[in-house]
Amino acid sequence: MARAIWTGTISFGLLNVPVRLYSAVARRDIALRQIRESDGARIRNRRIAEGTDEEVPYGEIVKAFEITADRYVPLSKDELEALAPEKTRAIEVQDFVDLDQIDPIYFDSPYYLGPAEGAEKAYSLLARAMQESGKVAIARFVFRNKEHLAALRPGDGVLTLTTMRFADEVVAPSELEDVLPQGGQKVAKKEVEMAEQLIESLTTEFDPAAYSDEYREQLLALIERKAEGKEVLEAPETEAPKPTAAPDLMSALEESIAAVKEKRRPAKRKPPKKPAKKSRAKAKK
Amino acid sequence: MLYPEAGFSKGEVVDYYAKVAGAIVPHLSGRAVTLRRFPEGVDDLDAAFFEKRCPKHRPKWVKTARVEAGPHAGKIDFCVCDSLPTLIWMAQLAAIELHPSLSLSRAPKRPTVLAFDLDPGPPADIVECCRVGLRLKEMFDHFGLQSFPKTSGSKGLQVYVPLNNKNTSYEITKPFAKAIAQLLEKQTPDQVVSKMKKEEREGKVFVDWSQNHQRKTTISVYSLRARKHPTASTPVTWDEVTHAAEKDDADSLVFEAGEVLERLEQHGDLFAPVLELEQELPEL
Repeated sequence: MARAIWTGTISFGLLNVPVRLYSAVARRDIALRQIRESDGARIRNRRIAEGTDEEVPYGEIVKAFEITADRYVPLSKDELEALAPEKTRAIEVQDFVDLDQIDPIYFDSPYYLGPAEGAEKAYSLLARAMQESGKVAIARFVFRNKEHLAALRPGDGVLTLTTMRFADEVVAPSELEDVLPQGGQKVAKKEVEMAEQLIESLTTEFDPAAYSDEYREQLLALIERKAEGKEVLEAPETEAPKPTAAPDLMSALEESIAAVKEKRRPAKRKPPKKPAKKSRAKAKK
Repeated sequence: MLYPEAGFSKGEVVDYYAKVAGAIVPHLSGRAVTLRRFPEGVDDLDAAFFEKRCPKHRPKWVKTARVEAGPHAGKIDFCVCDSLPTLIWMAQLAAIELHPSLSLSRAPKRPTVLAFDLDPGPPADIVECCRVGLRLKEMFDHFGLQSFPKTSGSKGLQVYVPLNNKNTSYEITKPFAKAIAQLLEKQTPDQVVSKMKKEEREGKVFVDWSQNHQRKTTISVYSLRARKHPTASTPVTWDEVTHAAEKDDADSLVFEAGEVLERLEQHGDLFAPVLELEQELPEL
């Protein structure tokens, strides 16, 4: 069962529907590690205090705002938490709008909303009503310590929640006037018609499955080829995660050998070599 | 001509493997084997490649084993060489070097041996390896364990401690091997290194304990090596190792294909006990 990343309640008017939030995106990026080329040793990042080699434990690290160069206002975890938006568990519907009125530039990350236990009927009712009306709900909710705007859409009896950007987060084209055309250039009507024809000839039904991440596929193929071939760098095992275990084992080994030597000394000077000879004789047969 | 300088042809490689089959197949049988192929001969390293995945165009009678190959590769089908025909087929693929797993494919987490690869950093050579090998033998003698040396067929010496017991795993053998390597290094830091770094190896013997790992392979006993001459990884006796160490005689431990076959006739398979002897590592 998929794990909910948030639980809360959709509320508007007198209607409250307890829901669970699930991610609608499977991240398929390939994680690449950094290693030293010569021997495959893993590259590790250490947090050290500037100007020293001292590693700083997490407990001693606080956040700060840099007012001017090298002058900071430290902000403790408690102070930041006190300012965080109140952790309400509500998806508060503000308005209902038509989907085509929303510029896709405002859409951020998609999630699925599922009914909480016992709320299946209310959930289905809401999904059905929204489907019938053809509207999208615009709502506010607090998620991961941040206030979000979101669009709730129905489809096949399932509600989708897409987080949205606030208007002041979106850069207007006019703010990029030095690089984006402002007002538009004069173009010949005939040229526009030709371009339109070309667009027409390429027009098809949108099929998301027709496009795949070719870079990812090529990278995977490359990794597979190299893993099979001669170019695999094995990390030096000396950098084992438990650096303390081995020296202990070595001391134990050292003591063990010394103890055996001690025990055997009174009887024989040298350890018996009989077994080895026997096996060699057997092998010669 | 797979060995142009020595004038050793592909036909001769196939012939060697046909003649050595009786000795080598038991050591390969039941194990995932990585092939190192040299389609353009031993001098053309650009054309050479390691092949873990058993070629798709293999004959039907070539057996395979599905084994974990690495964190990204997942499980792949390795070739398993359990018969003369399979060995001949590999040889004619110019698979000069055969690198089997230390475990059987039916129990991939359980190595049948503990292995040390003693690799000399120039100007050290196999003679220094022999001296370290003898110290290894002495350590294992203390524990009442038998160990068996073979040349790597390249520059070094390898020491195998047969285990063949059901209670072992790489989680036991690897730390044990590492501890041994570190102890050797501690006793004689000017002669032994236990770390892989190339710079630190100069004039010392690198005791490579890291091959005691599920995904690692080690050159098979009796496998040819891709050197100038068709040398093979050859089992030797501790007496021979002692002789080489005492007389500073590196050449006495270099064996080419023909000599390996002669030795087999004289001594039989010196490595046979490695397949059978049941031993347990001491608890530390």
